[in-house]
Amino acid sequence: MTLIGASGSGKSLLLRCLNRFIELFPNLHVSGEINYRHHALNEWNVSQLRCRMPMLFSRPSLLPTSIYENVAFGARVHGYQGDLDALVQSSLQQVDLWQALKNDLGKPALHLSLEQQQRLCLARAIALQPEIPLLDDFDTAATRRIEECLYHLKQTYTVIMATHHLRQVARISDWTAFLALQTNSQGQMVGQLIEYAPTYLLFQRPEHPLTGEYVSGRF
Amino acid sequence: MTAVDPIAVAVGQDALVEVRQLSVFYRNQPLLSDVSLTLYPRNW
Repeated sequence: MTLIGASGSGKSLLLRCLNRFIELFPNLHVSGEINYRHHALNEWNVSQLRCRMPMLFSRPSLLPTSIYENVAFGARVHGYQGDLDALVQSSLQQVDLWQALKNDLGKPALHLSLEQQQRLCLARAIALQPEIPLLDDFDTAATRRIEECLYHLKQTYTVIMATHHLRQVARISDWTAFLALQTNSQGQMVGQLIEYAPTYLLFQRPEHPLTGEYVSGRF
Repeated sequence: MTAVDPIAVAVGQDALVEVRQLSVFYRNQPLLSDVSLTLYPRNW
């Protein structure tokens, strides 16, 4: 599922609400309700919740250590009891990095290209065995390799991403939510959900005129 | 690129995430208002 909309429309805020990342911002508060697997978010252990919904950002945030350690770190911290080598291999295979890096696992991760670093971050999230990876403007360059990676991942995971790349959304997303800044009754500009629909419907037969204008590039 | 109609398969499935009337405020100024949506699992 993808969140689209102009900057400031609330895409990232909504993502940050889903794994309670928003609680790290003391000046923000939230009203309303979010249930994950029929349990209110505050019933979940926050650490467990963020393992199930890891968040990835536009800039790769790698540890200054080896490729192997970058993938294994989170799983080890969270007490993974299985075969760590197999987990690293499987995670790297899912982002199509295994063949390229299998002989260099001990080398520094920061020496990889930016695009490989992004995929390595994805592998690290996969090693946590998540259910819903949250991608916030993750593929800023809209590279073909990462798009292929995301397309492959959505066969296994329920991926939620916020992005500005509408063509990419049309190619790989099943459902799309469009948010836009609207003026409320107090004259304040507020992000609102305008339309949420299967992607092909939202792009080809949008119900709201504003959605049509946005997906056709008129604003 | 969707193999099946997501509307058809979503009917009757267990919701994975339900967002109900979610609003976010910065020092009492609304940033995001009244968002409601339901997300169903990709694989079931």
